[in-house]
Amino acid sequence: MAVATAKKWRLSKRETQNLITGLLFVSPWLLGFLLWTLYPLISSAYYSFTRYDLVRPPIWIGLDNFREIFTDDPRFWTVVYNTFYYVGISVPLGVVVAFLMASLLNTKLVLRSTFRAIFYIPSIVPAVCSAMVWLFIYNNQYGVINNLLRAAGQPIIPFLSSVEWAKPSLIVISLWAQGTAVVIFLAALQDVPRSLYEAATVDGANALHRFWHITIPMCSPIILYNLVMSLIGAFQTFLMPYLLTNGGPMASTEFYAMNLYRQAFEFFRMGKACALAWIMAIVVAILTAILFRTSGRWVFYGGGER
Amino acid sequence: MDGKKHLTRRDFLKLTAVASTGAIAAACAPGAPTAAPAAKQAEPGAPTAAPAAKQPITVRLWVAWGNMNKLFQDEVWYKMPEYETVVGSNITIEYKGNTGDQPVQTAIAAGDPPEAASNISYAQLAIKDVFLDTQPLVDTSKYIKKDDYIPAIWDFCKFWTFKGLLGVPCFESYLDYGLNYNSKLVKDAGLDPDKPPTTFTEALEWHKALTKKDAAGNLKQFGLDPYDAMGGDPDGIQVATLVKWWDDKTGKFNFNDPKIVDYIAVTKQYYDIMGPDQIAGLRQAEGMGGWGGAYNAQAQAMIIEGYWHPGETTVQAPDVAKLNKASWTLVIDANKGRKVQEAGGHTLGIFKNSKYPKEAFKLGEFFNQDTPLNTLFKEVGWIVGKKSWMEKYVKPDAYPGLDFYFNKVNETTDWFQLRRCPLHGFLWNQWSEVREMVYRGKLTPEQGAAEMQKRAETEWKNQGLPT
Repeated sequence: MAVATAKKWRLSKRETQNLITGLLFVSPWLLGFLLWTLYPLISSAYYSFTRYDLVRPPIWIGLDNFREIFTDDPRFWTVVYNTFYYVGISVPLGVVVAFLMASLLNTKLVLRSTFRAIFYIPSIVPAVCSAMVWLFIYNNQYGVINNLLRAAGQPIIPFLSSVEWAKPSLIVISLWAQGTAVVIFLAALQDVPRSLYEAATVDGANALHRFWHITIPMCSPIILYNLVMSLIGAFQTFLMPYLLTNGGPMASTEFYAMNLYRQAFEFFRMGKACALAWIMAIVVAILTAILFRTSGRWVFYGGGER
Repeated sequence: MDGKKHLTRRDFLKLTAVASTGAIAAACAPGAPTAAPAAKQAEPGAPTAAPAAKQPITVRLWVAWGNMNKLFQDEVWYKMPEYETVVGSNITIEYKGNTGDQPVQTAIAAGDPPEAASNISYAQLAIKDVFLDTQPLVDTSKYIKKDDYIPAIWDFCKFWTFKGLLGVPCFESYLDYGLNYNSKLVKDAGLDPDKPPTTFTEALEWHKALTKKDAAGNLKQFGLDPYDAMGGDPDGIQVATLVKWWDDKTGKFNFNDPKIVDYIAVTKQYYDIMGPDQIAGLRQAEGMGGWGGAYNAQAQAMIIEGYWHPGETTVQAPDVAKLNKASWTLVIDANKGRKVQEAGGHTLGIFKNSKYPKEAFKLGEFFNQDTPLNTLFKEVGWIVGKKSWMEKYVKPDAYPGLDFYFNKVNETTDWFQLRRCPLHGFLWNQWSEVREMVYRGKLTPEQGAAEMQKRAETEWKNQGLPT
């Protein structure tokens, strides 16, 4: 057996040549991965233990960046709160909205294809354009909603300029751009066997029962997938708040990624920014792991195994 | 098996793979220098090699603001006779506008900085020792003489830890503070535009009279946002209080000073009248979010701004500029009667590790000639505090309100230099948050001042800055 195993790992001349050829073919990707992914990843881990301002050589300071982040940074905990608030509401809500929209589009609706396109468009519109549209909607002076309120003699709603309103307003925007998740859900919904619905109908199940006991369980692997992807994306939210509020008012929409950006490219504290990045990576990894660990209780795989 | 060598499909694929890998490797290799020094380009033994000075040289100039973009696009400088005399026709400028600290520091880190930059964070960069000391070049310059500049402008080119001069005054460098106001809005509110307020408390009365809301309480117009434009710069604190929030002699912070607490308390009252959400929302309207935008849109009647305001407003909103008047910047009650001014602006910083720093200095000399200074004044509204040029060419009544910055300058009782602290950018960001916490009632003025002191000291320590 041991001989067989050893033989298995000894490559023939032909196999070696094939391996080299294969490696040469993937070398562009491999080089790119080494240079632009692995090296920055490793170097960022090193820089997170240094004081580095981009111009002068990095100075090793051990865990000082991490100590500072957790104990000395006046904005860190505000930013963490903002981010968890945003992630905690926008991610589950986004998945629910996307699933409901997909379910709606899966019915025999008039102009179904048109609606599908309409729902998907926000996902392909550049974020800067979307931001401009939302500025027009939310604007205090000439926004659609506030103009109606003003015409009715009512006080306006300071969507993006009030500490209380700013985060919910950004969450609403995140719900608007769920096109990709909708498309994925739609594919999953169309994959649910008709026979299951027919059998349930024969057994007397109404539409709600069928949705709850068939549609949701059968789509649960895709729900998990969208949940994980949305979670990762929401933790990295940057562009929309940066364009619409620049973190204000009173840092109430300054999310983690924006704070990281400021540390790196406004204050030029690259070491601290790398430390912040690693903290986020670890937190996201832990939350993703929790989702996977708990998924056994609610994700249904048709084959019976994950 | 005919003995001929065939190129099999497998061999072809191998060759292709090797070739493509080689091509990628070649693409990744460092390129040839785009502008190698003249001497290296000359062929050995060339019969009549041109003198080195005549070899084409490109000087890269990066400027954080975009006001000069059109002038550079139109290449107006090359048409001026002084360019040939002072700089030389072999030197061309590769200009980038709207290019601030981020690309500059990245370029420095990459070992390929531009030759010169302007309106960048001088103090933050000076402490990293990236600038060329221009003092020896100034000493031998035919064109730049210290005595020809307003002392406060010249001193702006000096810095705490930097020996010598970190550049030369350039593009715009004059007075940074004044209360500008829209005389029509003031008159319409029943106020006398010839008797402007001098303290924040006096201006508060104007603010009340000039702030208008509709029947539902929505803000339509306001008197003064004390934190707009130069009022929002942390230096606005020191011109109002006469307390240096960072002392460039000792390196210590003084945010805890009672005068700064008074300043925070009085400015808060302006927001109590406008409503913090309302003013922030108004600023999100198009044209009102940017620096001084609300003044140009006539939604704001007063603004704390520098000498450039009359000229720039004339370029951007000529109808509003006609109504502009200016006076001394506001101070807190304890400083009533003091006439405070701050000086500084666009020094031309030259990077010592760039390819052509001496040629970049020539640009500094050129932009201090009368003709380019006249063009900048006329087309952009900018001034350099060069006395001989100002006396000869600048008409104080060229733009409404500009006369204040000329006629009253000798009455200044207290001078400051602009943005001295290496943490200026960081503290500007923190100050925006902390003052908002105060005027939104989350902190008292005392707590706000203490919070700024704490944040400043902590960041100083954590950045490892010298003590």
